[in-house]
Amino acid sequence: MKFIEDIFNKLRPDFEKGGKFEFFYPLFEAKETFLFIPAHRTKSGAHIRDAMDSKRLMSTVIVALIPPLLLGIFNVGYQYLKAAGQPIEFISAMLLGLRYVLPIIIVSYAVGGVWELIFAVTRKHEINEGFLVTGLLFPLTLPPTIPLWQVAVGISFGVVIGKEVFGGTGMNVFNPALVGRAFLFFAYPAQISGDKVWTVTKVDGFSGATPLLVASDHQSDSVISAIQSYGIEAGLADFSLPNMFIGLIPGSIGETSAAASLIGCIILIATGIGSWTIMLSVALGGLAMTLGLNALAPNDASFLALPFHYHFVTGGFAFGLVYMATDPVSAAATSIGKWIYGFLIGAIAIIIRTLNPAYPEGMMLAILFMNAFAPLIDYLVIQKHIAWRMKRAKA
Amino acid sequence: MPKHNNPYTLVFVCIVATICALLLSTAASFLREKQEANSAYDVKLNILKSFAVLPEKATRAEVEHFFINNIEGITVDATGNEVNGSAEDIDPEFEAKTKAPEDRLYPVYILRENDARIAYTIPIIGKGLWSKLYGYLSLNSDFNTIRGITFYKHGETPGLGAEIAAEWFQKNFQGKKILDESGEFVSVSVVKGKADNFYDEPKISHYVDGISGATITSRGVTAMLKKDLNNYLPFFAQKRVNYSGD
Amino acid sequence: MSEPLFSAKSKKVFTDPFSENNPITIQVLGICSALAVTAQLKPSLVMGLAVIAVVGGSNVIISLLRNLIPNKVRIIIEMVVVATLVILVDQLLKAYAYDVSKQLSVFVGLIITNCIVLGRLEAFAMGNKPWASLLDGLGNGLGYAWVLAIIGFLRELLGSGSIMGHDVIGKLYHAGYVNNGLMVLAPGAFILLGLLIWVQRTLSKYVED
Repeated sequence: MKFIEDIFNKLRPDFEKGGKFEFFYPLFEAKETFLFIPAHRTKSGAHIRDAMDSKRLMSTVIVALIPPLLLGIFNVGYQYLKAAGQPIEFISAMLLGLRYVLPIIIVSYAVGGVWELIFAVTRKHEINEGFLVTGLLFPLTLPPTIPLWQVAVGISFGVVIGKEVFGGTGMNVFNPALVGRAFLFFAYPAQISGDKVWTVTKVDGFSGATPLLVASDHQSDSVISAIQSYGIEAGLADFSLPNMFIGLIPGSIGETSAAASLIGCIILIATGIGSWTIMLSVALGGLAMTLGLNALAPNDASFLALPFHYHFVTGGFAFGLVYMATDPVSAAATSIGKWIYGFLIGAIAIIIRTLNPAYPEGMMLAILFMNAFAPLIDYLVIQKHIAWRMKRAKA
Repeated sequence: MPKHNNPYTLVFVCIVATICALLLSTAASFLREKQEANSAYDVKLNILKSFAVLPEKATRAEVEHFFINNIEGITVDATGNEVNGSAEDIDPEFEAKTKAPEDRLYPVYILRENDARIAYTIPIIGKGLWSKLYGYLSLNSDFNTIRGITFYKHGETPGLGAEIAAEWFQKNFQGKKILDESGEFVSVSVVKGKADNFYDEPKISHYVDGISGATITSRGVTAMLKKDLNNYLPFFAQKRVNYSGD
Repeated sequence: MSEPLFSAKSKKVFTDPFSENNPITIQVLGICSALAVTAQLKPSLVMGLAVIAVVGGSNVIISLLRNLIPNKVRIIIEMVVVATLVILVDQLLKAYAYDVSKQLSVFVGLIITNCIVLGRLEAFAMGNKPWASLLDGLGNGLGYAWVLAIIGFLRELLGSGSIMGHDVIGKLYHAGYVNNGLMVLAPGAFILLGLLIWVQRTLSKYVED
């Protein structure tokens, strides 16, 4: 550690005011403070500080993202081998997965990083560490077959329109990773929806739907048996409940595994970084809405009849619940507000899934929608609180 | 600013209104003929597209000329009998909205070649995912084989449902059959994915490739074909008898 | 009191709406039609021309009548004049540019409700001479038209891969390029318009107060 610190100290004069690389100070600062806790103090007001500054916060989120990332990489290889009818070995699956997932992540970080640098330099502030999370979250929400140029376009949109136009990290209304994904979803729907994009394969004319797609469009008498028999009939991934929970099914890279998201969830809650209130309320909102729709379902074949545990393990529900809904910048901040915010995300996601004929998955749209309402929720909660306190003060 | 009294205001308003009204009615009567010709031309162009007889860069004069010489519009009733009246005067959407199927009149456009009737086009209207789809479907004179299809108005998702207007999708319909081997009406359906993954000969001649990610639009096309073709079945049956007779 | 036709003042009246006082990017007026008709370049250009004609024409007419119009029916008279011009333009388009008029559909008619038109009549033509009013009308029409043209150009290029209906992507499709479906939809115009306003305000150093 000491020698890294020495390097930074030696280089520092070149980057500070008057140095020859002054222009790139943001880059230097970003690398230094990512590795070491900065020495400078806050300049005004009363602050309570502990060891957790925003960089430590972000690196914990990165750690929490490792389980879905690893499982996602393995699953890409797993689906490839399965589609090709080859035996599945752990190492070859991982290597195959890396071959397709790594370029996506690299493009996401590189292109997004360039935008961050451009804005940091022109606005003369430090590079915002939030991008480390955005740059990894974004690829995990994409199908593994996504063309790399679309990854570049998507992350550019997410960073610039999702964040920088609002003034940068901390000012954004929407989660930048989801803004990027939503952009791709509406701009290039053929590459991010349907039944052709979820499996990397060289098999000609291969199609493999996600469980949600099967549920939204099937001919069977029961939506559950439609899902369960789909993979077996097509000789593809097994859509049994445990398998969907572990995540060995077609889908976006990081979202298939509810199990991996739950590990991340434990890390985030244990370190106090992710809000358990939001996570719990999203699940409760989804549960309540599903139970309501179950009661309304005309027959077993209807998407409405799908029980909640299926909703939870399919699509991006678990992933969105753990990593997206809890983004502290775009979520509601008051404690009652968090309950309302989370509950509505869960409920709306299920509504979009089951009732909208065009979109079998609704988690992304639900979170973005509630992002827009989070400030309003907070405002109302605070007003209500003030009114309550005033009344009590008068009494 | 001068103060204007009420009579002045009244007279002023009347004058302005009269001038404007005169101006507009003059313009309207001068331009009406041209506007009607335009809108009729638009219909003709789309009908010819469904027959797939139009050269790529046909001029307006060529289109008009071809239409006058080779296209005949007739009107049939629900039992398939030809009735008096020109096909251009019938708005199928209005008919469907205001009358029961058996009371409606149905337009048919016929393509002639050297006095022989070689193909028939009917308007098709149906619901997609977001919007109404408008098009024409053309059949060969066996009243079974599809000659061409065209969609000229829709508001579907670009890149997904909007592909119905694309050439590759419309080409898939050419040569498909609306009747099965025993002569029963089965229409033509848009499948999910590639048709040849699901069906072999002879069934494949009733199915066309779907648009990936546009299930609802594809279903809409299937439904509108079935519904609109069904209304013309009596007419087709009648004509088919004549056809096999000569 | 006579003033040269192209004095500095009248030049400013004409050019101000291009940038410093642009009806769309600065005053944020006329957004509805700017989103609705700009999926392709051709209808955008035609719409721009239609608005130029209507704003210019109605500005001159109202300016000529400005001392005759009774104050209490001012707005109604303005509306009648604008509506007449708009219907005329619509009729002409239907007769001579049917394809474009089909694409523009109701939005030509909706020029009547475009805030830019009535805004210019109220703010300028009612208090200025015909020549200045003409310049003001044409200037504002052009200010609206160039924004529409840029958005129409970008949307057609990105959304349909063509310019004025001519394919410009060609071989790139084989390399994996796909048209951007969002650009064909109204939200695409909304995003582009936002970016344009961002760029334009950064360049003109405009600050919202």
